[in-house]
Amino acid sequence: MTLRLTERAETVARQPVSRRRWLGKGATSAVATAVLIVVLGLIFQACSALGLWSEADVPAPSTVLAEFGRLLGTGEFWGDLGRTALEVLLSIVFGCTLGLFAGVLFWKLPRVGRAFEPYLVSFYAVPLVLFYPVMIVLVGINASSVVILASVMAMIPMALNTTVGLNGIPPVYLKLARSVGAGPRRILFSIALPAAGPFVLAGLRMGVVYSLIGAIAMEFTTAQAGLGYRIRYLYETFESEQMFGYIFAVLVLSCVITLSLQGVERVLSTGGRR
Amino acid sequence: MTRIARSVRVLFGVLVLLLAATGCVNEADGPGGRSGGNRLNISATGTDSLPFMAILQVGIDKGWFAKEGLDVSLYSGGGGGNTLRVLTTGDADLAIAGNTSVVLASRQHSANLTVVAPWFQLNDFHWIAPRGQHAPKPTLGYSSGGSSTELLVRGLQRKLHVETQAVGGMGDNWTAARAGKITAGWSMQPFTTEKIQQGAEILVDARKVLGDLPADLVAVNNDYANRKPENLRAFFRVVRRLDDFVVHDTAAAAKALAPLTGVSAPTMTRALTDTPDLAKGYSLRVDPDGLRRLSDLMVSGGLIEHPVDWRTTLDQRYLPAGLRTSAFGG
Repeated sequence: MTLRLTERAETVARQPVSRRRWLGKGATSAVATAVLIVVLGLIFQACSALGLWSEADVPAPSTVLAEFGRLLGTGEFWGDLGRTALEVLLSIVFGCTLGLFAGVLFWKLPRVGRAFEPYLVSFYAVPLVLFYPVMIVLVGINASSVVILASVMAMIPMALNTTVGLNGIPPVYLKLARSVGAGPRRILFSIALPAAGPFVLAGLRMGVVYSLIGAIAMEFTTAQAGLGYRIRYLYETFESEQMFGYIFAVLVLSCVITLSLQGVERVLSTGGRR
Repeated sequence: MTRIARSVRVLFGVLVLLLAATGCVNEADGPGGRSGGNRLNISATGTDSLPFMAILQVGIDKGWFAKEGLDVSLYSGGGGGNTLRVLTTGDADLAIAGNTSVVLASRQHSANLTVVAPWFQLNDFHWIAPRGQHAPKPTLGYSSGGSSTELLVRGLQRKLHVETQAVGGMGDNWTAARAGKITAGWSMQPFTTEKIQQGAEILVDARKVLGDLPADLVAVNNDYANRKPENLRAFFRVVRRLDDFVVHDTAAAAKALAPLTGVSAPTMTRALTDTPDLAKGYSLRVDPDGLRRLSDLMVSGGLIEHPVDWRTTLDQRYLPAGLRTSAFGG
């Protein structure tokens, strides 16, 4: 009996602790989220059925879902989705890479960091779409202006978080690395960035969200294709059902990006180990 | 534990105070207020930039609406989508918004609105560029997807072989044109006159290419129209008076309109005198050709499949009798 219990305890102990916890938390979180969405949907459906608002203003969730299903069968929707997805992807890649680079630069050259940080923080607090008239003059009006603005929006939280994370590394880590003869590149990639990992990942998460917001907002203003453009178009032409179908598509896209990011985070935080 | 309980109590108290405060707000004071008595809440696009919209404020300032027994409040919405949604929610009783938005909204039963008149039936849209800026295949800017300017620019595209680009408002278009990012941007009076004074030239006159059509349409909330039809008739009587004021006493009208649209009185006077057919623009007399032209543009632009049946779409009964048309039959 004692032997069996010991074996069982050893088997449990052999499983990675993080995986066991993650499964439990992940399942709870997924169920809670699903329940919340269903409850909200039912409330909206009931309010709509009771005539608390006009279908022309806010269609019932069942109508929106049916419209979303119909949109999935149209080429126009996929064209818009492809355009937005490409812009968001490019913005994430450019913005987060530049942000990471800037964060490392500010850490390595603290004077440069001190000079730039107040501006970045100020920029962070301002809706960058306000700089649209400047963007018109500097980069023109095309898909690149959408990508540039969304990249800038993604870059700022990434740079700030990376800097904060790197500045927070206990000095003993770096001293130890130097004492065993690690070069600058090794220190950066094997010691500093992993130590600042939680902050870098938080910056990445915010960068991804901001790039989506930036791309959709700019499309809303200036583009001639993409999900943001189509929502604006349908808003102006008063086609509420289709408009909400597209808004739902943006929510789905946001969820897909967030879930993908969680996967990336998991891989990065475990170093690819299962 | 005690601290948590105290925090919850404080939070609850704040919530109660907030609810009480919001309950004390008198919604009837704002443009979103529910209609009572002879109140008429109007939602209109560009009341702070376009003279044919700003005349409504002139009517309020001069007390002409009040003399007809109307208590008018004006909400300036940007674009057809914003302007019309407050009408469908019942927060506004009457909306004056972009032609395409109103036509498309009127086709939806749940929108609960009816088109009752055309507004500013003159095609005053121009595409202006810095002097000397030409291109073999010019790019014309417009405001945004689904807007009246997009409808026009698509029509121009078919006739003039130009490129198009969504840019934003008149100011953004002018900035883009000056930066050489587009060849010309859309404009209306008095912006056109103001920029011509600063070195712009008209590259495309939409009226010459496409002809006249109403820039906007007037729509009413059906519930309000059923309850207060006399208010709507009174509204149009005042508008007729305001139109006559602009046409017959242009200098005085310009003086009244200038501060409302942020330009000088001489610029506004020039803008009104430069308007090719002021009497047509500032008139409620229904122009059937303009409405047909609007319908044709919407069909060719792919916004609707079949031409608009104006006989059933336009309810003229609130307009003064002499200004209605019988061209659509019925």
